[in-house]
Amino acid sequence: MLASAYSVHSGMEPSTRTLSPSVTGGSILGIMFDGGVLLAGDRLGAYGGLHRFRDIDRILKVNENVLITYTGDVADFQYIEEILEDEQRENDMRNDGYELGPSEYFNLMGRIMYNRRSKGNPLWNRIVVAGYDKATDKPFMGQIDSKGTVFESHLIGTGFGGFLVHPLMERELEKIEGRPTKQQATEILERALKVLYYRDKTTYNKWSIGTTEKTGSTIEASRELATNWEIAKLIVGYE
Amino acid sequence: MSSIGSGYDLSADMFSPDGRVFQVEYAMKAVENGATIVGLRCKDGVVLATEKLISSSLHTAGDNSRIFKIDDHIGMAAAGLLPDARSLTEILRDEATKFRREFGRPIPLKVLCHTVASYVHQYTRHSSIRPFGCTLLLSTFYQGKAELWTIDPSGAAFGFKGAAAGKAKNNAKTEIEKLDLDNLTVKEGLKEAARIIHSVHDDLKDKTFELELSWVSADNPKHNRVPKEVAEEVEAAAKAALEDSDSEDDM
Repeated sequence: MLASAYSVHSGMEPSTRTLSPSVTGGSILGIMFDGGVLLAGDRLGAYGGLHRFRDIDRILKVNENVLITYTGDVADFQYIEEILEDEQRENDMRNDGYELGPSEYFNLMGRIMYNRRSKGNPLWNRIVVAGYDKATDKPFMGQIDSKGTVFESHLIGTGFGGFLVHPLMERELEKIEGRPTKQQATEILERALKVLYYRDKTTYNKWSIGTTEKTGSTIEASRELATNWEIAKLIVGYE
Repeated sequence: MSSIGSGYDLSADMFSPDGRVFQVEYAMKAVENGATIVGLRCKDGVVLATEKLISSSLHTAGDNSRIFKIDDHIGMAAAGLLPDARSLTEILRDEATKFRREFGRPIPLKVLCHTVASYVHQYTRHSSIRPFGCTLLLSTFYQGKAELWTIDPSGAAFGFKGAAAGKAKNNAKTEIEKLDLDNLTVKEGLKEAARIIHSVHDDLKDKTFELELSWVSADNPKHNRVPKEVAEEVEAAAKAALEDSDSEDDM
């Protein structure tokens, strides 16, 4: 029996409205350092295996203290972007001295994602919220997935970034007492990006790097990694 | 004061024999009882200034502002009944957001004013609801052009180079007409607006007031209240200019 609007309401059939994502954004890496957070993701919107859109912004600066980024369906995140922009604008207009920080946006996104999943029509994204929380005077980073699972962490890797690179970054971080400095975090991230690019065929060599600190947030739009493919010859079977 | 409605003023769904809708006129009188607001369209932006009367020393400073932000690029000052203005603020904001979502760009002020003026007008055509008792001045600097619009209780929307509303509207308008608005910068406009508010303020009838200033311009395309340092500088200059002209009168 085909699923229809009626059967969804009667709770008998699963919804088949959202079956698969279309244009997707790839891995995201996030490292918390002493006083802020570094985020990185490539500028690719993939259409399945095709590198379709090669210059998209995947890191959104919501305000001076919040950066939000994602893995997964680009269209779904563009919808989320509108919600976030409206939220930020309404807060600005109220002009009552209260600012929305990463915690607030993290909670908001958590509720949105969970409610969509509960309706059987999830947003096909894994969202990473990063920023500087003025209320607690600490950096913040958290992840929300399409099921509505939420958690905060000092180190995040989604997609292939999660499989390959997260353990690599974790091992480097274990060598450091407490949080790394911004310089140390940058070095770890640079190495991680290189490994991610070399090993994950779905990545594209154009990266956005977002930095959020107490003083504000910036996004370096378009970084290209210097690569050396001479090492390919070392791989058995190449040629 | 003027003519008594004598039976033709009981609801907004009536014309008087001489073709007036008294309820709308009464709404405009309500605006004239309120504090003065001034808007100046300068060559590179628009200034809004309000005489925010403080009715009690127990009020928190800065509270109950008469200046609102409608969208990133649109600001508003309200004269008359503030609660009426606040409800229109929500309508204005919703329309601006709807336009942004549908067309992917900020709403032109002209479009917003015509849309919301139609809404205000509706309240002048039913016996069961009263008209809005507020006049709004809206400002924007968008796509290289400064614009100032008014919406009054009758539902009319007009574009202006300079506008005023509230108790000292006529005095303020006289002062505004003396200005060469096409050649004023926003910074100069701020001083003029501050000076006008101070000069039309009636010290005897109303005691204390807070001068509120906002701007939107080529340099500040997002409408905002003027920053504290600038506001203080402008208000000091305005007061000084007033004293100069006062002492000239004495001579």
